[in-house]
Amino acid sequence: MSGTKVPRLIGTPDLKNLKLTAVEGFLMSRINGSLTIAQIASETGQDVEAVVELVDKLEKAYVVSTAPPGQTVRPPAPPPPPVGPKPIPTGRYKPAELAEACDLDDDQKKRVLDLFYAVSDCDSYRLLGVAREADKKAIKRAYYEVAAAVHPDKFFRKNLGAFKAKMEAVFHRLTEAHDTLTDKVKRAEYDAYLETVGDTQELEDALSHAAADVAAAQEALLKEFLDSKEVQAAAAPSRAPMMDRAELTARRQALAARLTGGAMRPKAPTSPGTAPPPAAHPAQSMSTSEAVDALKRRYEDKISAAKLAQSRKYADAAAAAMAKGDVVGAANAYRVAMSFDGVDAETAERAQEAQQKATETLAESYTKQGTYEERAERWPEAARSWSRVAQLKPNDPLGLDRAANAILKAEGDKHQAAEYAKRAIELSPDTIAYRLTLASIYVAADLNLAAKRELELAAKLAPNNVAVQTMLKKIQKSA
Amino acid sequence: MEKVIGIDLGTTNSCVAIVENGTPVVIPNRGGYKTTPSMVAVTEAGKRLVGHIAKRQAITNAENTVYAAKRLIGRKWNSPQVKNAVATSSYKIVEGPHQDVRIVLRDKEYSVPEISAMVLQEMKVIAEDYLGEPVTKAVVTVPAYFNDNQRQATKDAGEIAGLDVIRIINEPTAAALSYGFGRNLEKVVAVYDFGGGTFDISILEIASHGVFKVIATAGDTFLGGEDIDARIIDWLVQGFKEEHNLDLRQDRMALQRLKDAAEKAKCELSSVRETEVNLPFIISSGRNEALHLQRTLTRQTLEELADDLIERTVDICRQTLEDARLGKDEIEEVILVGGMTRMPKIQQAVAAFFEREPCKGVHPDEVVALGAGIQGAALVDDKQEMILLDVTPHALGIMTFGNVFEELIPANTTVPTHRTKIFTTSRDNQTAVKILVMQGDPAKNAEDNELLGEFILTGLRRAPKGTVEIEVTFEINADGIVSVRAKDLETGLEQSIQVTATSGLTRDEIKQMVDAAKDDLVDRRGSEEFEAAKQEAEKLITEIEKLFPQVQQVVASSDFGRDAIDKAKAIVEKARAAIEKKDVAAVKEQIEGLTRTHRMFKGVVAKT
Repeated sequence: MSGTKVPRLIGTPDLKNLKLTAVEGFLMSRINGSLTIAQIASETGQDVEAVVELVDKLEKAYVVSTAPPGQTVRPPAPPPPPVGPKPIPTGRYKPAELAEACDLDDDQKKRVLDLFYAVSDCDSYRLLGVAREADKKAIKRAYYEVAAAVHPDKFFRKNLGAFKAKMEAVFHRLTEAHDTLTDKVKRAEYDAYLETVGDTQELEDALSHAAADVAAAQEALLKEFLDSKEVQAAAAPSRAPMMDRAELTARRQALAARLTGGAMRPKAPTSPGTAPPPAAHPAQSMSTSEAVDALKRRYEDKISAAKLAQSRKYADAAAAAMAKGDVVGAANAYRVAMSFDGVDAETAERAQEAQQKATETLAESYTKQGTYEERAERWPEAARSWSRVAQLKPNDPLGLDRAANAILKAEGDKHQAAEYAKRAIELSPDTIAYRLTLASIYVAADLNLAAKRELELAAKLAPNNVAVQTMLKKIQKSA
Repeated sequence: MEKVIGIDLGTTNSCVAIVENGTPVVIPNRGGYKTTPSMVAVTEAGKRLVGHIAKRQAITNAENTVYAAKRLIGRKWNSPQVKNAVATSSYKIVEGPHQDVRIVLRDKEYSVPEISAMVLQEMKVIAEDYLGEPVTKAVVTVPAYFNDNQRQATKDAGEIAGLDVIRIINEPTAAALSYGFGRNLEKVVAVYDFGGGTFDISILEIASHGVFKVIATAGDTFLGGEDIDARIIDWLVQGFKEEHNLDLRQDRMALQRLKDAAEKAKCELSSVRETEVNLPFIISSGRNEALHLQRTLTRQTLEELADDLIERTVDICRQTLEDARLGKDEIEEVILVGGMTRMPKIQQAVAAFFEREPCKGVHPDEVVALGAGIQGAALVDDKQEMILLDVTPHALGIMTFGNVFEELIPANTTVPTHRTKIFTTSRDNQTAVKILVMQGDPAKNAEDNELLGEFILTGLRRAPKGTVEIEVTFEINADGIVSVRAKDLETGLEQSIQVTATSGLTRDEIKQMVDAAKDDLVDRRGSEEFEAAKQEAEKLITEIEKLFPQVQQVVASSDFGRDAIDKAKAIVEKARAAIEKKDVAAVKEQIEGLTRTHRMFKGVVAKT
């Protein structure tokens, strides 16, 4: 690894779990995707070797990448294929919580706290530490192990401080998980729900890959062009044959930027640190302007031909995916195809169709998920799911209404709920239920006048609706 | 680490156990019996008798001998069960000041927890004698189907007896603990517990990691051996009436004799096919002549008399299995507990229902106390790898408008647990709500269930009914304590109570009783010890005094001899004074001197 590489962070790493020394942490704090390793070293006063070593370490942990963006190195398909279930996340508590004085030892405290934080966002299988396909016996064993460890009787009449309530909460949730997973019917329902959640997530992930796919496709095209002999020759004049590889790369990138008039910049493997050609040799790259002009023309021709070919390739792949029923794959491929210029009208139409279908699939998935969550009275989750439905299908009044209702129940953002409810009414002005939802939101927000107005409108539409009349009476009395 | 005893406070018999060096053992009483009758009596002289001695004098002192007090504990005066007991008991039951029940013995009123406390105190003393050290902590068992009021009353009884009842556990659960303790089983078991006064059925899972999880439990707190005795008494009384046209029930002593005979006959019929009930001179005919009762009771007749009661227990088993969502084939072992399960007909009924022979390995009278001892040890000893996951046997909820029991925590929910529900006001402009905490069966009207406590949440916004929302949260902690919180969702105002079920006694009353019992306990233990020392000292004094003239003759001539005699006289004097003062320690001290003197005197006499 050379000092000119530019390390950047991938996502937001969980710093606590990285086990860094103070110096390493300091070095890591300098990694911003624009400084090269050498620059980081000089800025922090550390040896280049030390920085290289750290970046190496971080790269292995998939926290940092030195590869150009777009070629994001994904962890080689979830490292060691998950034998058994995924453990619950650890260390999410505040140090003060761990420090509380009581009769538990540190390991016990940590276990309780980790479980306590896992309760809110881990599914029942993960919480119990069992695999999805675990049989009843395994589930029971897992439950008994962890339940015995956190049952307050284990520490009878000991000082447990705030841990007592936490242990009871964890125990309650574990028991709930056990009761659900050991009952055939309940488990089937829960599994169906989890599957929906998984599907939805997958769909979301797949669709969001489209952007990356577009970038990758265009980059591939550019690389092909840059690697062509003419460009090589133009970029590396014979009088400077001894340039090192890094410099060569930098020059090529600079050339690419000029050729495309900056259009490729966001996609090209450049970042501020390496983009400008090294200041020491400004003249060298400027000296062959004619050659560049010629190159530019040739590039444009070539690129448009290549673009068209690429676009067709993706459109064909999309059509094939569509035929196989892979709506998401098709939508993604079409999106890539559409990113090149000169796409024909038919492809454009099909692309739109595919996109629509993919959205519908996703919305359907969220609808299923939201319905289960609603039934289980998990309102915050339901609000999230239905909100997604509302975003994906902004013209479906039912989804909008469910979203508004779930947000209201979850005591979420009442403004957002009202927006959804209003939109539902706009789309379907004659549905009384939607107006009742909006009125309830107004009441919850203490906007009795607005609620009254809404109900009066509803009463005009349906003079005999009992629900409207009751609610109207309630509001009039309280006013 | 302090020792915790386990007490099975039974309707007819009680038993105490402890875990010693990892092994649970039943502690025998001074008579060598492993169980002690749960009977309490007050003699003419005002002396309090508990256990076997109370039972022995029951016939001659029927009116002042309490049996089966457990059937009354924690019950309200106007409950049908109490009405029934008033009609059939040979002792007097009256209404207490808080609609509770009081028992009159020699013109003095006792609350039911006080009576039970006497039995608990006896069990405590038995354990202390055995261990040779004071015991202050206990786990006490109750029928699984006891409600919170009954549990609380039992806890109060413990407190009056000077015991810190660290946990109340269910009898069938205790039996399962004893059955599964240290055996590393993974099994689903049914515990069929038919005792003197109550019937319980519990289904448990004995699991890995020392976990005992109760899956479902149910029962009838007024169905037991006593009811079968009552059937036999009815049969005897009816037969006697037909023959002599006299009602034996009018005579309390006759009733007590009948009760005794019925119980005896019932027990005998578990091993023989027929038995004779023979009660000579049972009642005066009024013509200066006594009548005798003599009848033969066959096993078949008894089975007919008890048939519907046994059927009832089987019905409850069926229901419980349904509640547990288990099939008969999923029950891997059936454990029989309680004296009534010795009855062949009951064993047959259980075997027929569960389609498997019940386990013979446990002692039906001792297994519950052993389980209580095991739980006690598990709670205080960190090394014990045992956790009991119990359930709440009754549904908990609140009474809502229209006398509806609104369930928050269903029966058979594993504790600790918590549930929340939202309620609204039931009247227009209602500014306060009364939360009535109820326990029982949601299928019944609220008022037919047990009221555990109540509190008021005030300061609600004046609004039409149904508009103000109140969030009610129920919480049961590992100790089985229920707390209820009500929150006005608009204002955030909150009100909560910790439900301390009412045992029919106020806090002050319990305190008074604790104090009284403490005196009583000290007094009683002191006097017993004193009696023993006094007897020994007196024996020695008599012997010494008998030898005095002879010794005096022999040694009076020497100064040394006179000196010795003076010393001996002084010791006897001191011993007498100590006896007079009822000072146990002083008497014991003098016994040493007396023994020495006695030995010396005997030596002197022997030489001459």
